[in-house]
Amino acid sequence: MALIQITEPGQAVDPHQRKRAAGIDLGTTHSLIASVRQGQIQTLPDEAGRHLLPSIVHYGLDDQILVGDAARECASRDPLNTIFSVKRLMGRGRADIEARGQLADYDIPDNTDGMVQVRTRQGLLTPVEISAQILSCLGQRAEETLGGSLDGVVITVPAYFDDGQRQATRDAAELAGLKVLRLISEPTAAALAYGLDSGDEGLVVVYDLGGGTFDVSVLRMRMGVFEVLATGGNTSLGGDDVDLALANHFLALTDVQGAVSAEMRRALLIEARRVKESLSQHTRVSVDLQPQGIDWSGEITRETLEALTSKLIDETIRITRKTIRDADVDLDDVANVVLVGGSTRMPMVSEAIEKFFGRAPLTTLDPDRVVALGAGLQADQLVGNKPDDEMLLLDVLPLSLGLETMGGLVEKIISRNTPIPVQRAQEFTTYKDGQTAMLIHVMQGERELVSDCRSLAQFVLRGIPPMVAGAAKIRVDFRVDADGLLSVAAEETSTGTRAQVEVKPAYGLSDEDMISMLRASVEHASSDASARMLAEARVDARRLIDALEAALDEDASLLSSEETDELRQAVEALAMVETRDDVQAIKRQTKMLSEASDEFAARRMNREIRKALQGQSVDALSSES
Amino acid sequence: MSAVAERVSPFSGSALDFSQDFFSLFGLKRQFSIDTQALERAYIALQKQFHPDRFAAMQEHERRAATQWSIRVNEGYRELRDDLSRAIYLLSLLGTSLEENPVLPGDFLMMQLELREALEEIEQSEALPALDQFKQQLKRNIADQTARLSGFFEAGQRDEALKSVYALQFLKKLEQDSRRLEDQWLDL
Repeated sequence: MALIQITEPGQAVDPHQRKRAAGIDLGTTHSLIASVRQGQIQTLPDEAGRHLLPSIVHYGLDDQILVGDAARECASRDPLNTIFSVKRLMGRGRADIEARGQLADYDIPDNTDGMVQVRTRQGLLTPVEISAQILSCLGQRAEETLGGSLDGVVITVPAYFDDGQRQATRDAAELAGLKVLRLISEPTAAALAYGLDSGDEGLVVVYDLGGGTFDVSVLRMRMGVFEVLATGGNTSLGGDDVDLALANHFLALTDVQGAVSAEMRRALLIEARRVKESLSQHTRVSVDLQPQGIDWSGEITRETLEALTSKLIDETIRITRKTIRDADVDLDDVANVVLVGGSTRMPMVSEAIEKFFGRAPLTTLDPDRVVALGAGLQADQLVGNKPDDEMLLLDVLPLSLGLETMGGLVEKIISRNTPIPVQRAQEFTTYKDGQTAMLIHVMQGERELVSDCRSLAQFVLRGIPPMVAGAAKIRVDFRVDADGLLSVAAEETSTGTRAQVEVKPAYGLSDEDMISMLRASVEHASSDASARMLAEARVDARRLIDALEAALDEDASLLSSEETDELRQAVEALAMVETRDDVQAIKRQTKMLSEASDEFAARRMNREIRKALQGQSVDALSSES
Repeated sequence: MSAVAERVSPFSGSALDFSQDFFSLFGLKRQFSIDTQALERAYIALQKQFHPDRFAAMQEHERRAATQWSIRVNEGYRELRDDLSRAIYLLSLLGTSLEENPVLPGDFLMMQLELREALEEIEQSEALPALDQFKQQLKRNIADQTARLSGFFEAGQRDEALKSVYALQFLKKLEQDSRRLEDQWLDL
């Protein structure tokens, strides 16, 4: 628990300078927000004292939008406009939803390609927009509690989320007006909350069974660094499946004829959930389906639930075994096992874990809150409130990245469990004389066939100079940043021509989609929101101007006088634009200046690295004996 | 200057100075036998300093530069940690690159054939103990070959080192295949 006490005497940040940061657990069934207050990490409650915000959004009449408990009350009455478990739709296509048998839950038009859309009375909505409602609800809660706007947030995602799902999460945060410091994986956040990063060196396994996703991670702590060694999971496996199995069991017990209406289906699922939760405390629970419109009452025992759940639990143990093997560690070396997620409250889950590891798992923190707590701690550190804390998280790529090759096969470029950030290059050539364009299909997954992997994006490389077949050399660079997000760049290397890359994420949103959504959200929102966007853009611009001016005063020697003049002019240009009320212009100019100063930043960084390396070789030598 | 070190990414077009090789990046002598503990310590120390999270509250361009460095540290760590990739990297620094279809000595080809056949037989027999034994044998072969490789590097016998690398490549590939087979059998 060492981490809970986060400020030590003498190193506390001046409270007036403390930045407001929060960690958000954007969960399938519920979401939470946590922040460090008076040196304590805590989840923040709403006005009614509730910490858990049900991840439910209701789109009502007159543009009314309800989130959380209020939305849940509309569920049975207005199921098609009440969106549950939107996390399961993030970065997913219609076919994925169909394969899971979830199409019946909502009105999902079949003419949408790319990310799935849900038709509500307020129009067609993407999961990104729906998730943004949950995020802004939590953001508001934090701002009211902390007394001001948030400087940054850390949002957790399942370790096993692919690129499309991560990108969708980031987009949702942007839409909600939150500055994302980092996406971190849920198991890692949980390990942080337990303070396992500050304890002895050793291995930690985090088993996270949530409402909709299962995740398992093997982490190693050494020299103040928390390294993810391997991660595994299934993004479509969780407590919701138990609810579904139980609801189907109800139907099998009764003799309901014909199609089940969406209302009845929803009501049965809610009752199934209640029964499941109750069976964690009791060995038998009586059930009356009268309110659900079915003439049946009886009893469900824990044994029945266990029988319905055993396949699911076996599958999680199999994935856990495989992940430990992928990490190349011995089961005996595991020092701690952490349980996360409401579904781990089911006694059969902790029993199965204890049997597998031969040790009792850690359960002292509330499994519903532990992820948000860890994210809040990480946010506090990243935003700069703990300058002396050296703790660092090193994450891995959860799923291999590859390219489609001839014959519908996938060639892996970066394999899973590679530490990130990472960059890999691949060279291609033309196969026809005079070919000027090339289509590249990026895939994510472990299987060999394109049809078994997820399509992330298609890129068209254009502007290849016409040459004989095989003469052009096109170098494509794949980069995965610390959040696990992919970007791609390409270049024709024999002539030095930069090929343009057109990115069209398969299940994500294009830049245009995002811009139009942002615009729409600004138009709909009150003038407060636009004023806030302007203020934020100005703060960013000011910060960049100040930083650059200071750097220029200090290190002008790293630049030629022309370079210095150019940069100073660009700084002035931004300073001019900054006084105007044009958010887009300020953002554009800020971005331009930021890019223009890349080279300068790089040179400063090179110098720092050189200094650090000199110091570090000495350290490495002196600590050797 | 090595081919690897000269690689400039089309991403940034920036002037990050990647001219030093991975050995000097990690403060190690440029040789095959390395102090793995020192490598681990240097890796952690470098990431602690240059991981983009260290720059999370700072400007975008600083984070970009840090990301580039962090990528390079990860790349160097991966190249140096594994014996085979370290040998290939060291050879490339010395100006020797691997051929795509090298001419290999007859006895080595015989050994390849025999080991391949042995694994195929095990696969058909579906005997887990036999697979275990095979893996143990392979492990010894890899250790022997690595020791030989180390000797060649020390003696400055680059051509012999290269042959040894080809042998090691084959053995490691076979090790992967036997592991995959085990995964299948264990339903992992």
